[in-house]
Parts: sequence; C-alpha cells; structure tokens
Amino acid sequence: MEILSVENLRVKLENREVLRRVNFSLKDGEKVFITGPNGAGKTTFLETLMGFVPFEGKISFKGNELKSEDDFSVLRGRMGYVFQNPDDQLFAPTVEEELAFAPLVKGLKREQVKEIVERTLKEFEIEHLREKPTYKLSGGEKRIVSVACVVTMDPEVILLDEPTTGLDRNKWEKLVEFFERTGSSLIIVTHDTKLMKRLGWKRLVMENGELRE
Amino acid sequence: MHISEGVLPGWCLITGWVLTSAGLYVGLKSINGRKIPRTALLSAVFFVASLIHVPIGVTSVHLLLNGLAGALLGWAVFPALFVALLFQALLFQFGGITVLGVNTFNMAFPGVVAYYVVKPLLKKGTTGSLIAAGVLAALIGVFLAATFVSAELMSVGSSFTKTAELAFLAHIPVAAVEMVINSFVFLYLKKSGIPLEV
Amino acid sequence: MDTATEGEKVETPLNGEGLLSRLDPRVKIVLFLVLAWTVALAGNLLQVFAFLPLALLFYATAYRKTATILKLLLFADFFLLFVVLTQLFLGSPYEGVLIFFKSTVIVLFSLLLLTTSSVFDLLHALHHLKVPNKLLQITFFFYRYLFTVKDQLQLAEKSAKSRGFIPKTSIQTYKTYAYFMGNLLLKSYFKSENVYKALISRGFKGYFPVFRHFELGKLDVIFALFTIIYWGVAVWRFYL
Ligand SMILES: Nc1ncnc2c1ncn2[C@@H]1O[C@H](COP(=O)(O)OP(=O)(O)OP(=O)(O)O)[C@@H](O)[C@H]1O
Ligand SMILES: [Mg+2]
Repeated sequence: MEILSVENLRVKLENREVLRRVNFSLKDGEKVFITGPNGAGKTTFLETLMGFVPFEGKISFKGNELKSEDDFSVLRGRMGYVFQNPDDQLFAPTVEEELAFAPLVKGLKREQVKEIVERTLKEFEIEHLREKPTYKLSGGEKRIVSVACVVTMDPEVILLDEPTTGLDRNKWEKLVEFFERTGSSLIIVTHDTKLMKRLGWKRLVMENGELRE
Repeated sequence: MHISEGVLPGWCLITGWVLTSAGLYVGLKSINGRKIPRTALLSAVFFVASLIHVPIGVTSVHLLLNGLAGALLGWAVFPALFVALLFQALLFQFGGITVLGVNTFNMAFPGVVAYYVVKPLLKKGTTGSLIAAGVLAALIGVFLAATFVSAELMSVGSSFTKTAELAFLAHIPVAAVEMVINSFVFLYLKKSGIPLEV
Repeated sequence: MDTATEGEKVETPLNGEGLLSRLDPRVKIVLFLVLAWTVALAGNLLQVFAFLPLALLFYATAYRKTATILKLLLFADFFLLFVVLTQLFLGSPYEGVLIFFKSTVIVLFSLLLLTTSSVFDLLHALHHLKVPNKLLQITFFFYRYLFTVKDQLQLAEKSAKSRGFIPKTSIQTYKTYAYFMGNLLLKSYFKSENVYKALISRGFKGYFPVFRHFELGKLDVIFALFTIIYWGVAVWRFYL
C-alpha cells in the first residue's frame, strides 16, 4: 500500500522555483535514497513533506490529502524527520531528555518512556552519553543522537537528511544496521556512495528541483 | 504588560525615567568586557521568548520573564530590558518612548528583587531549591510588576480604579504559567552545566 | 534550511519612506522628544488637538504606507485598547477619548520621525546625542543577533513539531517551552563568548568606529525651524 504520495509538487522560495513538478510515491516499508548536487532541493523536499514549506500540488499520507497545518500536525507524530544539521534539531538539556521528548509528547506512561529510551540508547550504543548535555557532544555523537531522538517516536516513515555525515566506522555500521532492520519506511537524502552501494535500495536523483530515477 | 503612550501623567513618566536612569547606571557599571555581548544576546532571548504565545485554557498569554531575566542577569537586567523595550517600541509601537522609563522600571526592578531573593536558592542547586527559585522568580517578577502597573494607573485619577484592578488580574495566569516555565528553565540550565548566574 | 517566513529582516516599519526619511536622524530624534513630551504632558483635548494637524502633515509624507500606519496605530497596542475601553465603559469616557488621541498623536510622531530612519542610523544618531557608549553597544549586539536568536527558536519549534509536539494547556507543553528557552539561553551564551573572542582578536577596545557621518543639510534646518515654530505657537496658544 502507498504510504506517501506526491503529485505535481511545486515550491517557490523567494520567487525562485526550488521544486518543479515533483512526483513521488513510497510504499509501506519501502526504503529509498535521494541524492543529487548541493542546492538541488533535497532538504526543501523533505521539509515540504513535513509541512514546513508552502507548496502547490498534492501530498497524501495513506490516501488522505494533507492541506492545512492541522493535517500536517497530526501526521507529524507518525512521520519522523532527522535534520541536516543536528545542532538545529537538539534542544533538550541532556541526551536522555532528548530521547524522551517524543514518547512524552505522545502521552506514554513514565515507565514505558523509560523503557523506550533505554532500549534506544542500547540500540545505538550511546548509553554512556545518557546524562550528557547535548551541546557537549562531538559532531558524530550529535548526529547519532539526532537519529535516535526520532527513532524513539516509533514513526511509520522517517525522513533523514544526510544522516551518515561525520560518523566513524563503528557508528556508521550501527546506523546502517538500524536502516536494514527497521520496519519503518525510509527516505534517506545522502551523498554517501558507500552507504548506497551497501544497501542497494532504489536511488532517486534530485537535480535542479526535479526528481528522477 | 507595557503601558502605552499618553496614559500616565507627566510626573509619573518623569519619575519612571529618573528611576530607570539610576538602574541603568548601576547595571551598566556591572557590565564589562565579555558581559557586554552576553547581556545583549540574553536580552535578545528575552525579547524573542516574550513573543511566544503560550496557551492557557481557551486563550494564550505572552510571558514577562522579568523574574527569570533578573535572576540570571542581576542589575544588568536594567539595560537588558531597556533595550528590549526600546525595540518593542520602535519595531511594533508597543509601549513607547515617553513611557520607556516607567515600563523599564516596572519590569527590571522586580527582576533585581528576584535576583537577590533567588540567588541563595540557585547556589544550593538541588532540584527542590531550583523549583522554589523558579516559583519565587515568577511570583516576584510578575506580581511586583503588576502592582507597579496598577498603582501607576491608579495615579491617573479615580476613574482608573476598574482599569487598574483588571490590569492586575490579567497578570495572574501569566504568573501561573511562568512558575512552571521558570522552574524548568533553571533545571535545564543546571543539567546542561551552564553557570546559573551569567 | 530556512522556511519561507525566515530570513526576512526586521526593520523600522517606515524605513526609507517619504520625505522625512531623508532628514538627519539627530534632528528628528530631538524634535520627536520635544513634541512627544509636550503631548504627553497635555491635560485636555484642546492641547492634544493643537498638535494633530502637525502629526497629520507628517503622515501625509508617507501616505503610501497608510495601511501599515493604521495597523500599527489601531491594532498594535492591546494595552491602549484595554485602557480606552475600560475608561469608556467603566471609568471616565472623557479620559478614554483624551488618552486615545494623546497616544495616537505621539505614535504618529514616533512612526514618522523615528521609524523613517533605519535602526543603524538611529543608533548612530544616539551616539552623537551622547547616549552612553556601553548602552549603545548592547543595543547594537542585540539588534545584530536578534534574527539569529529568532531563527534559533523557530528551528527548535520545528524540531519539536516534527516529533509530534502540539502546544496545549499542559505541563508537557510548558516544559517544552522552557526547554526552548533554556536552549536559546545556552546557545546565546556560547554565541556571545564567540562574539567576544572575535571582537578582542580584532583589537576591539570598547567602542565602534563610525565611518559615515551625518551632515546637517538645508532641508534639516528648514524642517527644524518650521517644527519648532509650530511647537512654539501651539504651546503659547494652548498650553500657557
Ligand atoms: N529559505 C529559503 N529562501 C530562499 N531560498 C532558499 C531557502 N532555503 C533554501 N533555498 C534555496 O533552495 C535551493 C535548494 O536548497 P536545499 O537546501 O533544498 O538544497 P539541498 O539539495 O538540500 O542541498 P545540500 O546538498 O547542499 O544540502 C537552494 O538553491 C537554496 O539556496
Ligand atoms: Mg540539504
């Protein structure tokens, strides 16, 4: 079943057409890469799917068209987004609280939240960072935490904007294993050829605001 | 709550400017070197944060945050809030220039009081004392400011009794929200290991 | 990435608009203070109305921005609305009307005399008018980084929203806002450290060198004379 579909999507920023007539669809559990040159519109595309950018065209989630801010705000609990810049994404005082944010917002019970946080810390091997303030993390640690804090939301789809940049071998491996294992659909924007080779999923190329296979 | 142009009598406006000038003098003397950009940036934070609509019941409120600003800045809260209020007047025409003295004093003086009251609690730094500090900073900051605003409105004349009463009451939900928010801000800063007095 | 609403630069609302924007901001600030204080001290409607024609004349120079001006006059200030309404219905209607006109005239002066100059020009002028340098430095850094701080808040809001956050009346919501603020304080704290390092490493000694200088022109003198004469006559006829 189609979980996400986009028809004739157009986005203008400051009178420039950043996305032109983008068509795209993603099946439940499907995982794809989007690649392409700097400034092509990849980040803009992800932000538009999240409802952060005004657009023309049609975006649907599980067959329901998303139009208003309300539509998107409901969707956002089910569709995660990992920012290109983790510094912009992390705002909680400590790693633990950052991971707890999404489940707490969902209204889960304290014990459940604790369990999810513990599980995710272990999953990404970052238990030792538990009480560390996020601003004191290294670049790669921030990156992995910014993925982990979306994973705790247990989203049906995750949009990731260059998630492997700056990771060491070990963290890179951890993240790739997660990508393989997870049941969520994934859209990964990346320039990491090693990653694309290793996973071998469908590759879409964004160029000049146009998306093609 | 910022008093608008044209409301208060002249003597009140002038007293406001005199008191604020004194506060600015003490505040500016305490700021040197790296504290100059720091005060400016924190001032920008309080300006931006006070524009957030915080939902409460069926409506939403803007926060004063003067207790929090005072607790973190000490006497530097005078220049910090003066600048923030100056820009509110210039960019949005909230408040105004002749009332800038009064408005700065209404906000900053309670901030200074909050600073002295809350200081030992922040030093102690336990969860309980930080929550107490947050609650006290909100109560002192908001209600002292509300008291000043109402008293100034009363000074206009007897027809202002109701106006002053309502102005005071409007601060109650703000204080309630700020108690919670301040406490979490102190806990946040403590957890991230930032000096609580900056 | 920025969304469409970000990156817009906040400036004074009438920056560069009309004849008055071409005048020396030092002159405009001084005249504004004289006029605003005179109206603020007015005790009756007649004294306020004495300055209404001047305010309207100033407005005429920026008539193209009527919509902006009206919006700022009518809707910007909830406090004014609150005072005027409570006076009309629960206090003294005369006071309500008086305050409305006093405020309107002063705000018109402020809009047309102050906000027709850019923020930087106003700060520069205040420097010449002997406002303490330290205060101006704080003002300068405040303005310089205001947009950075605003963008930072919007990014945190975006991050929270993308994890399902919807503001409502709840402790969780207040905690989230507190986290936004804690985050802003923290980032600004470090930013200010970097700003300071950048400054001293460039030999900053505590004041900004000013490159451009204002020059009093013929237009400034004519405008100042006209306004002062108007002011003198109005005060003589209606205040004394
Ligand atoms: N807020 C904005 N206003 C105007 N133009 C913008 C804005 N944000 C991005 N752009 C422009 O839109 C285009 C696409 O930007 P986008 O960030 O989507 O590129 P990208 O494909 O993610 O590039 P990169 O690989 O460098 O991250 C760029 O030309 C950029 O300059
Ligand atoms: Mg990008």
